[in-house]
Amino acid sequence: MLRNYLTVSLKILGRRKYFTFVSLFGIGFTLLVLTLAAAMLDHVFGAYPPETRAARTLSVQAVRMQGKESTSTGPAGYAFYDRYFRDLPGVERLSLMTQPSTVVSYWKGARLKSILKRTDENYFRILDFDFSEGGPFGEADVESGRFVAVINETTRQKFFGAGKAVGESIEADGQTFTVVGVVPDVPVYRLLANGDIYVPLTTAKSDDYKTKLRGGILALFLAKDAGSIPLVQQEFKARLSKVELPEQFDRVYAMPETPFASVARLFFGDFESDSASGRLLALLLTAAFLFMLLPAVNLVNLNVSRALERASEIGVRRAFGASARDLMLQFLFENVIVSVVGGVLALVASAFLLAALNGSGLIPYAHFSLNFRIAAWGFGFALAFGVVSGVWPAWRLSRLNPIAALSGGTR
Amino acid sequence: MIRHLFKLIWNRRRANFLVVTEIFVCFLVLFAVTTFGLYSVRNYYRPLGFDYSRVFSVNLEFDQSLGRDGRTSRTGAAAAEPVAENPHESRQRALLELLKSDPSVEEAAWGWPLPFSHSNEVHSTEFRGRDVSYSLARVTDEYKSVLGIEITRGRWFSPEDDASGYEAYVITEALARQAFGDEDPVGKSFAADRNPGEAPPRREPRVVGVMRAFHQEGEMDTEENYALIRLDYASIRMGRTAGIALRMRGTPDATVEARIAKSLQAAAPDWGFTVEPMAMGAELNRQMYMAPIGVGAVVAISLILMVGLGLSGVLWQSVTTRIREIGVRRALGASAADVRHQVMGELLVMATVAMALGVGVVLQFPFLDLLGPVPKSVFFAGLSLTIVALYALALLCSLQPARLATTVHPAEALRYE
Repeated sequence: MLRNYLTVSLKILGRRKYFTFVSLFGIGFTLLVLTLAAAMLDHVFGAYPPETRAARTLSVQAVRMQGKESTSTGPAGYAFYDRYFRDLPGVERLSLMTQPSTVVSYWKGARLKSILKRTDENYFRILDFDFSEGGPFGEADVESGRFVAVINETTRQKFFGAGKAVGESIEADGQTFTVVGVVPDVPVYRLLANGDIYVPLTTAKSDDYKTKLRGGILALFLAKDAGSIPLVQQEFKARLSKVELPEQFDRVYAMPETPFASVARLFFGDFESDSASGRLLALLLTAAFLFMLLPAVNLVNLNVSRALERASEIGVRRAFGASARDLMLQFLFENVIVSVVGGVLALVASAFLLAALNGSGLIPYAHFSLNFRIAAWGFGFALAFGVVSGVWPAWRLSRLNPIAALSGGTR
Repeated sequence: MIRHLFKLIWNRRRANFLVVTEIFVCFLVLFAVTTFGLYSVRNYYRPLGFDYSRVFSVNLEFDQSLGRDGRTSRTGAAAAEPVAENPHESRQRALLELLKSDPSVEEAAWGWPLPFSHSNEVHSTEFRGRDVSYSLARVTDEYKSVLGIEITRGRWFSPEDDASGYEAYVITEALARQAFGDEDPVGKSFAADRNPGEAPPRREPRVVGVMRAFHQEGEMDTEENYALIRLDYASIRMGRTAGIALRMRGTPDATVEARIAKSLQAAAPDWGFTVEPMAMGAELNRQMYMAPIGVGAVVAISLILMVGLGLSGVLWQSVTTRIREIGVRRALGASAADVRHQVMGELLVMATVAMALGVGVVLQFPFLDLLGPVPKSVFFAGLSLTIVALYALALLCSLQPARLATTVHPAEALRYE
């Protein structure tokens, strides 16, 4: 029976070219925008190399310290993690890194801009960089504050052209580093892994950071396995009460979590509860639904106005005993099929657009692509759109009076 | 005629209700886009308030906490006393002298936040019983000549403000208007209202001059209220000032920039310095502002195109459905033009109904004071433009279906089943 419906709906698609075009344009465009948004969000928050251990990686991007009169929200300082969270149970490794900062190099009379990250040896053990040359810096390098650097492919190109980089020196932020390794470019929207130049934390110009509870440091926790994440979070929360705060504060909130949860927390400014990520997801889905509304009304209008086309068919089917419910399901199914066709078109178009965006260089090192997860989101949007825009016309059509329908009327 | 059209529309109210809904939603989308577009264009052509060509910004990185994180030692020892004066004073003076002695530097000034720095300090206070909120920067006396700030009333900071017992402010015309109304603010106190019993500020804020404008983040910055506050080298505020603005001679290249960065680094090895032409920050801000507008415009235009195509489809379909009605009218002597006017008129009447609803909704914004920074003139210009554009869209959509309706031959139409 579904096969019959499918044949009928494809037949109708082929019948009136103008209406097919208008329907598919509306559906395809709507789903294109939604698919693109889903693809981008997936690339920002999903698991992509070098974050191959994302399932058991947690990060703390910001902490909130609260007192009677003042509140401070932002990245914690080095001392915050160094003093209280070094040996958390369930955690295999902890890596601390500075927020990415933009630095300038003056190289052979030119001005080169790079993103610099100061970090430690564990960074390269938590993130799985695929070194194309050399390797990471190690514990000894960090301990003794050696001026060594891991650079990405583009930085190697900028400084050394096609030549080898390992063993050469580069100048950045007024300091000189010896290159020890080259890694692939990481897109700029991957907040934890991106960077042009990675150097040891201990090469900072001043040691002030070591005593700071607030400012500039992000933490990466690698849990022993995904199952011990709740334990890590629980223990982290318990230890917060041990932190000796600056005198203007009496409470502190933070949580090691996924990047999406961190962003949600900052977006709502909600540090007390842990429900922010659910709310952000709900907000995004509501926005997607609202965006569907105008195209859906447009399609509903079009379909209702075409009721006459189907009048004789409806009359015949009703006369032969099909119930209104049968008809309603048929029309709904047809609309979903058309939406899925639009969804497939949107998926194809979005592949081209994402490739164009990667090539345009608008977003540094952008590497957007489609994958199974994004296709599933696209399919979900198509289904939702098909149902939202199909229910009302299906109901209207299924209620047509069979006698009037057979004689060609629509009232 | 119009009353008759209303009757026709009412008779098909179930189908037409959806059309009206669609035009209504379309109106809201179009209104948001045009108003935002007009607002952006208007912002782009306002005076910026300063001139950033040939200006470099130097962003510094150093310990600005001045002992405020003092109680964080491992042993939990007693809090270190917060510092009362600027520990960096001599170094800050020396760095500025160093820069001024560079042959390619025309003038140099300390200040924070600098233009295009993406950080801002906002003060929200109650002044003379009204809420006044403004962004501010603290700067030294050379700032005016570095950035070419235009003073419209009063004067710029001068050494006579030293040890004068007040804190000198230069505010924008917009802030002067909001805080002081028609009164001349020059020489007046800008101290926030105090609760009874509250101690007065140690140094009273006083407006010494008014500048035309200052849009820190560039042409698209919507903040109109801005104040520049005079920095005193000895003050603790100066100890947190992490920016230098440099006016250069001629058009400096990367080698000059490198030399400046290097000499600063050599003079203060434990501080960080980033030198950048302000024009680069301005360009970046412009791109960051334009990218979402571009995406939004493409999406909105596609939505409206979709609505246009959809509406003309619906109208076409309704003409086919009502072919007998049209036939009767033609047989009774209505001309082709009459029929055309009927089809177009119906859509225009529906558009009018939808827009009346839409106008009713968006008019709530100015009534409820929800416009934010958007001025009323821009709001109403956007509203009028939307109405015109939507009527144009409705006319355009109805052209082809109306033409189709006139091709109906009365005899054929009456026979049509």
